[in-house]
Amino acid sequence: MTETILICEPIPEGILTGVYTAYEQKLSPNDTHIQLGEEENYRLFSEYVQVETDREKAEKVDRSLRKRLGNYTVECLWYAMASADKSRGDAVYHTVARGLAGAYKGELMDYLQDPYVNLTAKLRINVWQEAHRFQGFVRFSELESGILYSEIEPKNDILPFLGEHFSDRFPGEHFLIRDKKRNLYLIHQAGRGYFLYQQEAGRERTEVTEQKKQGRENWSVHGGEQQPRVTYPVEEGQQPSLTYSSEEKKIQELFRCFLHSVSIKERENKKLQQQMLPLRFRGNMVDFF
Amino acid sequence: MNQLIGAVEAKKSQVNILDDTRTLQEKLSILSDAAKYDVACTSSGVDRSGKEGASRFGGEAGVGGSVSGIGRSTGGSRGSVSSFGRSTGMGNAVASGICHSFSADGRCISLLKILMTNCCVYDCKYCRNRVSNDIERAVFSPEEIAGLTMEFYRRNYIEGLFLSSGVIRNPDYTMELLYRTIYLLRKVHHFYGYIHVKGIPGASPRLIQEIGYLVDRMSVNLELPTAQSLQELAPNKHRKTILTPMRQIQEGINENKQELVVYRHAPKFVSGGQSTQMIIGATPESDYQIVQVAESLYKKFQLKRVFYSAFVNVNEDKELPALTSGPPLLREHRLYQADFLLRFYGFEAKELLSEKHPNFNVFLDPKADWALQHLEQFPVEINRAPYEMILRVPGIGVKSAGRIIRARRNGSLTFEHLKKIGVVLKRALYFITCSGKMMYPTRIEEDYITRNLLNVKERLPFDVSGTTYRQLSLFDDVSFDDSNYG
Repeated sequence: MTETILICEPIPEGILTGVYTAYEQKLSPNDTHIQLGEEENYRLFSEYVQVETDREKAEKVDRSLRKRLGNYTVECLWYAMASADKSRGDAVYHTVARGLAGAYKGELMDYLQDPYVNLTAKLRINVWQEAHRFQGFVRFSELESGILYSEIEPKNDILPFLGEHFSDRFPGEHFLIRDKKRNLYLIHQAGRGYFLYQQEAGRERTEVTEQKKQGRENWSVHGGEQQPRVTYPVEEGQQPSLTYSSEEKKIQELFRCFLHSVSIKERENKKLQQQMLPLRFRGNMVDFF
Repeated sequence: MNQLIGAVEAKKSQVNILDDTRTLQEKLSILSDAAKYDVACTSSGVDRSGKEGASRFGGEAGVGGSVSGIGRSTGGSRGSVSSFGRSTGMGNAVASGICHSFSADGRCISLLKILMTNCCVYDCKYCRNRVSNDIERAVFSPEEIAGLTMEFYRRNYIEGLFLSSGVIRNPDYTMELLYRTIYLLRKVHHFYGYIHVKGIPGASPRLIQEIGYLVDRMSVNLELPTAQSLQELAPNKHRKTILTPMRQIQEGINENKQELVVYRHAPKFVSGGQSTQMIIGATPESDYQIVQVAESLYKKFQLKRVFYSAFVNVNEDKELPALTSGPPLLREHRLYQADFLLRFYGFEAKELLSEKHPNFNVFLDPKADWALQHLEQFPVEINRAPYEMILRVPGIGVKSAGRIIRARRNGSLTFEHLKKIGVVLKRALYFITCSGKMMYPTRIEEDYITRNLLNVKERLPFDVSGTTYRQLSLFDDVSFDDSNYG
């Protein structure tokens, strides 16, 4: 029996298109795998199929999965697909296959004995936790124009999951969060919605969180009609040029002063601190400048 | 309420009794240093979107978005940005709480934790801010606190404000100052983030009531576990004045729940519940007494949390014990473990400790200790036992127990499955069976299990200098057991 390996683009839409293709061609999940990006080691006796990302197909998959598996499961899948782990495509595909085959009772994501569901659940938790951490660890600096600017370097592609939280928190602020690794921007305009902006591609990315919350089927791309009124320091193919406001430095200094004096000397425990706030986060946090 | 504000306004001119001309940074340094022993820096228990916040706190006092620039003593020029779009206020609250940073002692920083002032008319022996200490004193003005909170919050440094205070003049006066600050934040700055305020014992019930509608959590410090030690170490405070506001808040919350059933949009009162804290190790109470106090606080006062703070000797007072090896961190840790057993694991204080056995085991966590005393209830069959019993197995927590219950609906579980779904078996394996089988041929025997549990090194959040070595003996070792001689 030959195995079929679907090679998909390493973005959520790519994976979902892969799932679509697998079902379209009636491939058996037992002999089918999804691989992301370029293949390094070709395997003998395997058939390789290149999958062209198709947003429409991906939307179809998302829609029907919501009907069949429920919104909660699909939300878990979206988190898992945002992971940086290479096996995420395969895990998600096989989890979907398990779910559609109906080989479980109750909530699919509780079926942790299954290796694929288990892996998906792990990836989901990992991404969810990182997103939650960044809800706290994002640090905004005020630019001269009054815009709040922040840079992050997350392992997983968590920026889409931050939009809702920060928009709700700062509805009256213009802010901008930049994922340095992926050159992805989350842009929010005061009193309006937010949207994601991918610098290289020059196009806005599919909005995940909004539709997730409302359980809507279609992915509406935000910001199409509402062009930003303020000039954001983002330009095609350029590093943002940043001038901070005059007060910015003073307030950062105040915060560091607070951090220093609120710690109890008798209980000092740098190891514990590092366990809770690993070094990889600190590069972009004013706490440690 | 307007009357009240009027009263506060009138007293405003008297606030600067110290004629405090220090810079904001100096004040922040002094007053956050003075607040650092308050442990309850959590931001959890309230889920409120920005919109809800606006409808709960906004729309009063006749101020629109245009005022939001007022009082930003520390703030930069908002310039063009504040001129449009800034109509909705700022902030929300997330029930799980969010940690924003971690200080060098490893504790989470989620709230801007400061005292309004460290001037205090009381003379509590354990407190650095007591009146008889010669230390630098400072006072924040409400505007300064509001400005700091807003600027920190919009940079996502903090989740909200934790405001406490030394007692300046008298409890009522202090509480009014706190009220004024929070009123300013909520109604003028339209801040809808988390606010935790300390209730000052002895303040009038009316003030507590008013402030309760503006904050998310309130706490009145118990300070010490028993009334007697309170009398000895904090002569100005009385158990009664501490418990009175606590009871008032509890009743307020319960009444408010009834109101909310009838009127969905009734103003919420201390929606995050109340907490308290007590100092551990300054007085001779046993762990049993402390846990009993905590239990009755949870049961009778419906507190959300009781916090324990290991005593740090800042004053070198003759009434206080001398600490040779730093604060009693291990004891504090064990108390927190027991506290969680009370709140989430269905344990009762009298199960964990007793008059005869009044203190926690240094080497074993309270749950393992309990299990070893009650071996007749083990082993527990994973595929059949009720949730409550699975929860009592050492090494299995709320998360794992939940996963087991959910996963076993889809077929019986083996040890392999347990490992896969993330149940840590290091300690649990001595107490459970899967389909009637133990993982290894282990025996249900106190001595044997104790020794093995001690080999599994407990992960403590700090270093403990206590040896866990065992005296070598010829007669209780495994290989010399009777069974080996057949």
